Amino acid sequence: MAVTAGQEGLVAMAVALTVLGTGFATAWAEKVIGAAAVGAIAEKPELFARVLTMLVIPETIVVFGIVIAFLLFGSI
Amino acid sequence: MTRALVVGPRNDLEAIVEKLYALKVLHIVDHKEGEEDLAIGKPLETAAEASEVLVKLRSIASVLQIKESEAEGVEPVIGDVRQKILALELNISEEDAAKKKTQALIVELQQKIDAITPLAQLPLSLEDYRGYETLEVFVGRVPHDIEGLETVTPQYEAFSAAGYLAVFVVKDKAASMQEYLAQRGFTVVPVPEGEGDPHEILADLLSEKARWAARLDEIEARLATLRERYAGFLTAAKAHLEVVVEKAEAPLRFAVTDHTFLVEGWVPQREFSRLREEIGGVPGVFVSELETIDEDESAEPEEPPVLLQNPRPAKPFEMLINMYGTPSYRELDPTFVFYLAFPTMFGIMVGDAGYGLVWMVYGLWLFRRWKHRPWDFWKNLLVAFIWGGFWAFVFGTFVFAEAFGIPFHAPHAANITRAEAFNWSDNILGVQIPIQPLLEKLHQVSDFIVLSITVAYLHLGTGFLIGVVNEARHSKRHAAGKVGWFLILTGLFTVVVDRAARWPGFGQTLWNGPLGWFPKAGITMANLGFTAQNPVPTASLYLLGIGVVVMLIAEGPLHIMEIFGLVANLVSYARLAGIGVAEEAVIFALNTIALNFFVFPWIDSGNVVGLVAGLGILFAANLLIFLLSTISGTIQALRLHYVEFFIKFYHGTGALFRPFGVRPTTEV
Repeated sequence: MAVTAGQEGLVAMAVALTVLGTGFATAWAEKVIGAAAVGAIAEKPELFARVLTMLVIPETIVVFGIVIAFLLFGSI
Repeated sequence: MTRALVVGPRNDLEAIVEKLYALKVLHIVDHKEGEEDLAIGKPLETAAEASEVLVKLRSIASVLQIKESEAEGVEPVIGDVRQKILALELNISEEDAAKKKTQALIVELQQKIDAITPLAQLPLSLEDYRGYETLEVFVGRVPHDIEGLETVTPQYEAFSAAGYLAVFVVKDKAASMQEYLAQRGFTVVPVPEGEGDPHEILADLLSEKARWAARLDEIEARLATLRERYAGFLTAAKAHLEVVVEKAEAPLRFAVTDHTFLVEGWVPQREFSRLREEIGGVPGVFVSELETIDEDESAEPEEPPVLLQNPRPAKPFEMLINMYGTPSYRELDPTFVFYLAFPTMFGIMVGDAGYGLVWMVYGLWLFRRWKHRPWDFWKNLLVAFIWGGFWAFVFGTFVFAEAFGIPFHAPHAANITRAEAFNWSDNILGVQIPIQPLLEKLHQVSDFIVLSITVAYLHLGTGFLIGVVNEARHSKRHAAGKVGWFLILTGLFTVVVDRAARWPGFGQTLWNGPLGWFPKAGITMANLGFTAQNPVPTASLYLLGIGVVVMLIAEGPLHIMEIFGLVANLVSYARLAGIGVAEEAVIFALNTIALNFFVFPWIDSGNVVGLVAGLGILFAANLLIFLLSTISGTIQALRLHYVEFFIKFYHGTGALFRPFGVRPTTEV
């Protein structure tokens, strides 16, 4: 997809929106998991390792966002 | 593992328990009451007394707040532990009771002080506030002076002090006065019982409280002395008593008849003869081999415990495996793959020669200091970090060619700023480092992503191959399913690399170099970017097609959905690039600030004060990124293993081999 002169701004905004959206989604998901995780650790400290990995699962969303952002960025 | 049975006369029970404990090879299978009409054994006589002393000891330890980790230089247990502990308990429980009583008294005094403090401000005695027939009294706190009380009634008298107010008013007007006051923020304060000048009472209470507080300090000092003197003894005694109790309670796991006892358990095959010699040597005791299960046999219904055996450097990574789940008896132990892949991923994400070197040097120094520390969570983790540091150093030096966020050479890009061009060879060392970067993090992000996907292919591919071996032991069909998945993965990966090979860079190097043998002919799809130079390889499509068919036959049609999951898994590894670039971008920004504002002015005009501040900022920024990249590198590498990797093949439903006599090390 060729980007004509003058459209770079739109692409840059798309990049920003992608990172913003996926970042926000990740933060939201981790907020929910994190709250539950702290509760679980308070009850059973040995769950720490499992809970920690569960906590970072939503980070895949923002990783996808970053990949797409770079692909878009490449077309400027 | 060999299932062994030890049978002997009950008279020898105690001696056999001692021997088994010393041998440390038998993983006892608990006998359940009524199984095969055999009762469970009774604990040895020493059990009751030892557990009682142990309970006392634990209560003493909690009063003295002794933590097990402080047990440096543990003294050997000498003499009668019981006598010592009983005497100590008497002493300490007295002190503890006195401490609690004093604390309660102080709390009570504080409540009285809180109650009398407001009244001490007002110039009246306590008895002045009560005992009137025609007057109502309001005492309370006010946010500011209240004026105009005479507008309610002239028949009143008021006393006020900073923030407090007492109003005496005739009973008829009490209700309207109360309303008037309440509207102006007046809150009632209760008047305590008793007589006398509140000011004097307050002074008395304060001095009494000070007296008790001094007393409490004395008691606490005495407890601290006791703690210092007995911490070593108590920790040693606790370990000693726990062993005594474990031995004494062992018969609860045995089966007994009137005159004999039976112990069943698992022994590693090569240790069985030793067990037979040592235990069977006692007259009247028999040791027999019930069955021996090889690793590739299926063991139903009883699954033997698992003894993990790994080369010494990989051993600490067993902890990270067990955190997820111990491998079952028939599964391959993934520790060795973990040992190779986990630090490598950590190294790619941190990707900085400086940070890697710091972890190696600091880690090895700490490891030497922890020589005598048992292999607990932190020591195992430290070894993982040392390996991670090693790989970070390797990748940072030979692939990314940078240290502490500063590149070895100026980047090959046009129009770069002075801070961007700042590098080790020209500006700091003055010697040209003979290593050029293979991949510049900030300028070759798409190459970095292709590198991540390549790691993903190697990692997931290994997972599927281990899966083939695991499944082949009990179901050829499931093994075929894993082969199908491996073919699908290979097909997907080759298409991705083929697409990336359109531009010069890592993708092209990989496609034409290591993957040069792969048949390149295929179908052109120009609108998706697969031009005539890099068509979709027919071979990849065959791999995908065969893989899907095999997988569908072996695992069922519903699994077609998981192909999308596999694509997501592949892309998920892009976090290696994501974290690597993000850390680099942050440290680059912080370094630029320090360079532009402090270091360059020093170079240009010799501003030494600025240089000191600049070095301080550089140090703090690098420390921050060092810690951040360690944390995110560890968590993300763990996640890639636990989520993406293990789901492909690993069950982790086994039980760890824990022979009688080996005390568990504490884990987090």
